[in-house]
Amino acid sequence: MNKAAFNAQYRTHYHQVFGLCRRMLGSTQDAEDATQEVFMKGYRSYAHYRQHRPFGPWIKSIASNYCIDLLRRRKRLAAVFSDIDTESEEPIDSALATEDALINAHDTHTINEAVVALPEKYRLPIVMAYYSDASYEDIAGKLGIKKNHVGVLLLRARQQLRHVLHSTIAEI
Amino acid sequence: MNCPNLLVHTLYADGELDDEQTTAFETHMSQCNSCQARHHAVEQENKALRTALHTDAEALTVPQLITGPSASTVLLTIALVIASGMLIDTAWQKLGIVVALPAWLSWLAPSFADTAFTALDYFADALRSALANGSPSIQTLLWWLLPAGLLFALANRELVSRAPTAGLMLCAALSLGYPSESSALDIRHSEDNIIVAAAEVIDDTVIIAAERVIIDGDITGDLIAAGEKVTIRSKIGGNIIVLAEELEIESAINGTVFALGESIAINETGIEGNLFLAGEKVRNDTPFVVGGNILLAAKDAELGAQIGRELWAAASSLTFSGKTAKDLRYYGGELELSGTAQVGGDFRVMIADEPSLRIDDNAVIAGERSIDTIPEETSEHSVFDYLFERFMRLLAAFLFGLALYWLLPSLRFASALDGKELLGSSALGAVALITTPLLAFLLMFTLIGLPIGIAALFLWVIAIYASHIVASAYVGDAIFANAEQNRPIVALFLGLLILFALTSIPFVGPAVRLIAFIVGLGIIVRWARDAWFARDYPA
Repeated sequence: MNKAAFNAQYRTHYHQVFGLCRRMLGSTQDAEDATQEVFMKGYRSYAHYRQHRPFGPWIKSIASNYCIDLLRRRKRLAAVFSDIDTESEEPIDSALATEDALINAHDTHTINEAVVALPEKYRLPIVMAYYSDASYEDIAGKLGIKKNHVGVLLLRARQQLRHVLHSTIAEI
Repeated sequence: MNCPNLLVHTLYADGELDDEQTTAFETHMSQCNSCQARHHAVEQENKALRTALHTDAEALTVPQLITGPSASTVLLTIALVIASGMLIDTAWQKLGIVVALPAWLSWLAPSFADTAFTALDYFADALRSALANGSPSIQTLLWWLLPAGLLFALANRELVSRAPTAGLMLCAALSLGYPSESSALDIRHSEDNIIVAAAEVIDDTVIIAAERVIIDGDITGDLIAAGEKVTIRSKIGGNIIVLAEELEIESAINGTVFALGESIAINETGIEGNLFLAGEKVRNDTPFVVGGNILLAAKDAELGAQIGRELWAAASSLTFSGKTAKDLRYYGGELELSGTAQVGGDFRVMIADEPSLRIDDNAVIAGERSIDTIPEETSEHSVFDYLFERFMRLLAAFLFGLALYWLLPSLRFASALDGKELLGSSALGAVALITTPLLAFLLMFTLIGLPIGIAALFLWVIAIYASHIVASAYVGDAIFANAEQNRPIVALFLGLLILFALTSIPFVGPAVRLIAFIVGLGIIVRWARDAWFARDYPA
């Protein structure tokens, strides 16, 4: 195994993986540990990594798997996602669409804070979809839910984001 | 068509609608101003989200890459090993199903097996006595952990500097330098003489290393001895492993004897188990009794033993005047069966030529006689024969290589090393080449047990053969390194061809072969280490 090559990849992709872990886990401390763990896993299985595939998506896939595993081990995720079936039956309230522009009105820092503050069931799909650019199918597979529910979760996540950001504007 | 709801808008913006839905959506949107506005808003929102998520407020410093397992993982592994050992032992005790176990599986049952010479046995005994008696026997356990720790440190060099591993090794080292009288394992070493007097009875397994070793006192456990001159003249309750330039045995032994020496003399001895003998000169003046088999490798040997089972011997010259209950098999130079010799079973020999075999008229052979001469190694092989033989070997190596890389594709990726790494792994290979058989030998006879030692030797032999192929693949891959297309099979064949050609050159050949062994073995060891510590492989 080529450690020098891996080290170069590590330096290039550390930020992205750290960012993903921090957003998925919602804590900087956890993210630092998780990032080390993810690269260690990557290093161990580097021999099995097919060189022609891009490194970024590969290591990010390990990272999201690891974070989901970690959250699941903390026994929070199973409970979080178990109520999705009933939730998705609720009608989509399209009235909220009128506030679409709200997210745009905020600076990136505030939006990031709001994302990290989201409950896990909304945070994980948002981060996977808009940070790692995972497809709905990928997200569904990793979270162990149905593909249809991913869209619903994303929609609700954005509704909640708007709601939170709306209140911050009100506070100002 | 009614206006699609916000979910459909989100799905569309994320590219998650199927073709039919997309067409319907786009058709509707082209005629609906409010939907166009909404779509625009969703797109804007997506963009804002992505931008925000990809922006990090604080600048990050990238910490040093850590590639070894964490200290907690190491400790957890050790704890798991110990716990599983205890569990297995308890299970055996509770179940007590040893009665139903066939003989060849008896080593699996630590608490009940007759032979005290098994891995689990040592492990379980060490744990049991550590728990029952407290500190003295913990030494035994640490003795067991030391080689494990050393191996682990070797495999994970990054970890050696880490405090917990260092602490563990320190404890083990201290315990070795602080032998206790009441320990289950008695270790004595000296630069000159060690004499176990006739009055002394040692109730344990003993390891003795000295220039001159004389054992006159009885030992109830196993005896492991090494020295320039070793004399054993007392009762030994267990097995004997002895390594000596000059060895004399005159004792009663309950177990099996492994003896390796330049000159070995065995007289008036009773051995319950088997006798494994390897020496330049083996002498035997008065008859002795062996309950099991004798396996002998010697240059010059005289043997008058009463053998309970079979005698298998390979020697330049052997004079046999004893008795075997079953077969006698011999391979080598001169063989003489004297007038008192009796073979209870078949007599099968492979011998240099007819005159080398002398059988006294009074010698008795109960079973069949089969006498073959060893075909002479002549240099009259034709060039064709030689080339054909080389070709068959090449083909065998190629097929083995194909099978190897088909079974273990990751081994091929593991050999993608740069020069410095190749040097490092070659050092690893050199160490493995020498230490594996030594360690296996030690394991077999001392601490971990026979099965693991044999398995290790077996794997080592396979790795030795495979190392040649791995080195060839490395050469082949190096040639194809800049090729546009990946041709692993052609590269393997080409590498083999080059290496076969190089190793066929006189004088240079053996050196090339040795380098290939070391490089190949290094790659294999490295790969095995990485594979061992890698637990999940994303596709």
